[in-house]
Amino acid sequence: MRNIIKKKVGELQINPRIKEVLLQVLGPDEDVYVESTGKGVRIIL
Amino acid sequence: MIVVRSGSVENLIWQVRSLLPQIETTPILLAQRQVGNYLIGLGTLGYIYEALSSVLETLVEAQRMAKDLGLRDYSVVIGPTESYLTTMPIPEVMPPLPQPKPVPPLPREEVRLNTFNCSDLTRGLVKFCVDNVEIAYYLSR
Repeated sequence: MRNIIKKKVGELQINPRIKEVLLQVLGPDEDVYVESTGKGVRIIL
Repeated sequence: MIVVRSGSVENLIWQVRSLLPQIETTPILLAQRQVGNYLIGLGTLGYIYEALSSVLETLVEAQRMAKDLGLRDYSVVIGPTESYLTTMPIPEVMPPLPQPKPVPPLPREEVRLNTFNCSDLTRGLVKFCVDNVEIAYYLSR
């Protein structure tokens, strides 16, 4: 069972450099789906 | 233009027939184009292949026709638009053709995927990776 959580871009706890790009491109209120891959985090747009 | 004497027709037919599969298996890359995750190679030896095929066809046909006409000593003249047989003893004009060699096995089709910095691919997703973060979106079906 995949564990996918719906989050807003502004709530993401990831590398600030990457978050900054997502904030610029999508905006803080855009919904994304966050999934843990074991090796890291997958953000599905 | 190619002029072949009756004595060489059989040999040339054999040589061209052996060269054709060699051309078919020679991969020549003219350009590479990336489409999504796929790298596609564009290339062809089609023109040479077509020209040699047409020469081969003409030679075989000419040989048959000469036999039907009972000609023993003749020349086949193959031109760009028309070809004919003549009994006039004219000198041969032959393009330098490479000697046929054994055909190597067909190379496997190759697809190189761009994984955009990710260590693996995920079915149904297009993605790229920065550090340990994967940015992904679903492929539309």
